[in-house]
Amino acid sequence: MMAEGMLDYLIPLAILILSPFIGGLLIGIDRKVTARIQNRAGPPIVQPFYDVLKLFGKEDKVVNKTYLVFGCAYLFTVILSLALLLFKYDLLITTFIFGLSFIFLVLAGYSTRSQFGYMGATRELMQMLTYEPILLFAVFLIRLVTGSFETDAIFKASEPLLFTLPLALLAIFVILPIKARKSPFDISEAHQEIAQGPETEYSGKYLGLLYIAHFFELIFVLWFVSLFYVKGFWLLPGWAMQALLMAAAYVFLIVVDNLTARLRVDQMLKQVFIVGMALLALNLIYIIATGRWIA
Amino acid sequence: MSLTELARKKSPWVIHVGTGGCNGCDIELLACLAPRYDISRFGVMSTGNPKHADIMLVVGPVSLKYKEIIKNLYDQMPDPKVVIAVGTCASTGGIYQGCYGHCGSVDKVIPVDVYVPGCNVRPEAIIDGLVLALDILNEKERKLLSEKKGAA
Repeated sequence: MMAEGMLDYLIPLAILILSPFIGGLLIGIDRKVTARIQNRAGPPIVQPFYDVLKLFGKEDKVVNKTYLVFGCAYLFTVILSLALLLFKYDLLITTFIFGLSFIFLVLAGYSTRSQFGYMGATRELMQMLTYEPILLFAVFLIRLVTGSFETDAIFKASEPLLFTLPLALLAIFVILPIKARKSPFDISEAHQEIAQGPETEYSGKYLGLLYIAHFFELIFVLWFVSLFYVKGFWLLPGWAMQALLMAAAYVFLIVVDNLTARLRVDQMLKQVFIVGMALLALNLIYIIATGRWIA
Repeated sequence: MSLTELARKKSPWVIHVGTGGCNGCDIELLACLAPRYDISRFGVMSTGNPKHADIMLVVGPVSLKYKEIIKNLYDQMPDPKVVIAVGTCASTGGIYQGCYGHCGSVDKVIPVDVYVPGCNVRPEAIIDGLVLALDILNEKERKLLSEKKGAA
């Protein structure tokens, strides 16, 4: 009994500690696969770790202290939101804190007082405006199906979320490239265009910290998607189904990233918002019509 | 070799500066990034941002208008940094030598570490220059550290 209780804390803790390494490897694999798709040799898959290590060995050129504080706050809120998600805390709070991390990045962009930083921060804000309502409504739909905002309720629900909320999962797949900063919605980063937006003025180890935050962010996004199938299926246990769903989301990200070009902000706002909201509304109607909702 | 030095050798980020030449070397440089000579296999990432860059690739002779800009870009790069002059024009001034609008080679404006000759340069030569520059990066950092120790 005691051992089981301990395991509930030890496994999430292990995943939390390992997640920057897994996230870095995933990004490395992404770079390699992208290179192979373009018929290039590509960098080795441990390249992101080389990048971060190198950045920690470089001189930092600091513009002002404010943006460094916001950068660190961004890293800590991302880690906090991932921890809340892994330890099965309130899903609504987790989403809000993940949104807060984006706000810190926006503030970091604004406080650098450079044109590129300003532009990147504004675009980041527009991206938040696009994905945040869809994510929140998806969380509300999960609440309607499971009867509680607790993440634990998803694990205790009678059937996986995929069967009750298939269209909500589709809506989350639509906003997935925004949260992972990938094409077609890598609007705020756009390093060919506005020199990596809010991250323009960062250099040296502070840029390294932002890179580590991105590793955590990727794991958060994939884990959030994997919550849609936490039950065992046939011979596979629940965690295997979760891993499969994460892998599917990751492959989807790479394929979409390589298939599409960058969109404008207004195009993103129109397309994603309308499509996502329509999908969520259809799913709401489906839940109510089949009587699967718990008040 | 420490872990940081190994990482520094494995991940050079490059800023590409065209100072107003004939565009021939520019195209050869871009061919390096394309599938055939793919330099990203050495971990090279092309950034447009001097604050993230380790290596500056300068192409073409420096025009008088561009003098201040290139100096500004160089000052914004964090240490350790390396400058590579790509092509004859960037190395010596080339056929632009003595022109009224130019100040000739790059080393009259900023210190250059590696010269890659050729008009236009071969992509292989650029890759050779890059690999040479990677060793200089670590040497420079060691020099900086020993200077800091000497001052303290």
